[in-house]
Amino acid sequence: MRRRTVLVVALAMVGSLLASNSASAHRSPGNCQVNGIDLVLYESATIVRPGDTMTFRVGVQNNNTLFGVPCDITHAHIKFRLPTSTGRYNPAAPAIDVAVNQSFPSMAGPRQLGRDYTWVVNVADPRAFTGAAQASIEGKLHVTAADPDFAAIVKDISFTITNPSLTIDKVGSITSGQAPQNVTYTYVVTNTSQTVVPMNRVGVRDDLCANPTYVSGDNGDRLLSNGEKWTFTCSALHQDPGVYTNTATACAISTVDGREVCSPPDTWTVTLTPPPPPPPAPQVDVKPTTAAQGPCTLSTPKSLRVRAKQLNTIRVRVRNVDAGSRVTIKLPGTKKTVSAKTDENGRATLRVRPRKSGRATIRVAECSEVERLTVRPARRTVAQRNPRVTG
Amino acid sequence: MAVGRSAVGAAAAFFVVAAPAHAAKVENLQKLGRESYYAFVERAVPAKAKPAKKARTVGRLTRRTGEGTDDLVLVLARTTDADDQVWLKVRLPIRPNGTTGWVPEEALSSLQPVDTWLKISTKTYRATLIKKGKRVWSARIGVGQSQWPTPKGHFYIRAKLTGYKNPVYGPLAFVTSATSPTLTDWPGGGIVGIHGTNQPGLIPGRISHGCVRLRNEDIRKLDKLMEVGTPLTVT
Repeated sequence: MRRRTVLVVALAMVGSLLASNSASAHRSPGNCQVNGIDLVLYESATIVRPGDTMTFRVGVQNNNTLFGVPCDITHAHIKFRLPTSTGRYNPAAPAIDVAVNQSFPSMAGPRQLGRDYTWVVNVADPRAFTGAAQASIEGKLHVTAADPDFAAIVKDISFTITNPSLTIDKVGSITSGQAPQNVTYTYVVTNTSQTVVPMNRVGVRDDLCANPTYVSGDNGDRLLSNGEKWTFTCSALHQDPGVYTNTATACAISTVDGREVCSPPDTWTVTLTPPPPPPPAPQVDVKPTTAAQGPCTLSTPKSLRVRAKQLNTIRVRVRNVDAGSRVTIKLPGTKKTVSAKTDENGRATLRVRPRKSGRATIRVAECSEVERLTVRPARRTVAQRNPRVTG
Repeated sequence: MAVGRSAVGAAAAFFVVAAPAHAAKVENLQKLGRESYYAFVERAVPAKAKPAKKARTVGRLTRRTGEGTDDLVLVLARTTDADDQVWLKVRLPIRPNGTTGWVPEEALSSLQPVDTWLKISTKTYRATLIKKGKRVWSARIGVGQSQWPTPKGHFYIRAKLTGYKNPVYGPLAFVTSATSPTLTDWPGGGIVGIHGTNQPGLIPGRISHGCVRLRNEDIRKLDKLMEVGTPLTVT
């Protein structure tokens, strides 16, 4: 427990400080001169917040030699008043009897009386910033012939009430969309303290967005003062479809009591729908994605034999062009062409029945390469010779 | 070999025959009178009893027929082995009649579609041509005498002969894949033909050495409707 030095002393000494030159049979001890009684008050904290629990202790000592030798005190009655909802004690209200009929011989050291008295800080006015408790002692002072004289002391012990608070307002750049989405969150942190509470070490925590960073709002003193708003931001990539509800909290350190202050959490929800189906035809083997890739190439199987007047299937392999590119073959003996489109692997299948033998030419859109094929003469299925059949 | 698989897809879906030993799916490519396939021989490779390199050899493809034409085979089915080798089941123009074998698809040309089917009846002495499922031609015929019967079974038209000056065979003759079971020492090996005649009055009847004889006007009409590679069924 911390000791509270005197903040306010309302010292009432009635019939004290009687410096007598003549000894009396009632003077005790015989050489005593003054009232040396004193209240010693303790409180658990000097700065408190609403909701804190304070503990008070009351002690008495009779060893104040500032004005002379203290005299004995007998029949002492010690009282104590706890703070009320105003933060301060009520002098009109009944006090707690700490101890009665106590004696404090001259030069008696500090002695605690009664028990620990606790009070939960709960003030009606949130703007209240001071509070106090009070103790008093009355007793008989053995100092004069007209003994017993009367001695009394009243002493207050005060404390500071601080009522810090923060709020955070979180906003996302979107509320819905197609996954994946890169969402930027903006956080506005406001010092809404009811008492004067500058804050430092202000930070924002977000469970789905790492390391929100300060953007603006400080007036230059690096303290989040009352009413001041600081802005933070953070970006997160939400890769998959789903509902993203993330919670942010702002915290800071109060420069009044050195303790942490945190805001209530604020949430933002982003709903992401599945992305559209992937585009058809992966381009891995077909279209060059960079200029560094090679030019388009065109090829047909080496064993390919194309004959006139029969159905020929010609499979063409094209590299480094878009899937769906048109492959065209021009056959000998006709101006017409036959075409097909490349698939995702760059393959196209042409089915042709050339009328004549000669040279066929295969071309691909977007490609300067040309493949030339020889169309061989038609198969011979008819012979001009005498039959050797059985007849 | 390049194959028009999409063209045969419907037939393949319609006919799924029993799988060979390796349990691969076998597509039946033949839908007589509607969609059949033949192919020219690119390489003279052995034909196997099963679609496997180590299977027993049942015959050998030839690139040329005895008449000097490019040889062809009727393609019956297709399958793919464990090594992704495509095999084609073909009807072979060898003895005994009805011999079939499996050859790698590289040994053959692209599949050539044909939508005709020639039916020969040795009982009614009538030949009928089916095209796209419909009867488009029919004629009375002469067939082999009892001692040289026209062989029954499934065959195909292998070649066509014209321009010769032997009136016995009429203006033209079709060479089939069928062979006579009795005239094995006949020139050419006893190949059964379909041809015209200079004795039309004998038709119909059992009049030949195994060939199918038609009146010349009938064989000319047939020539305009039927192409080489057409499946042939003799009953």
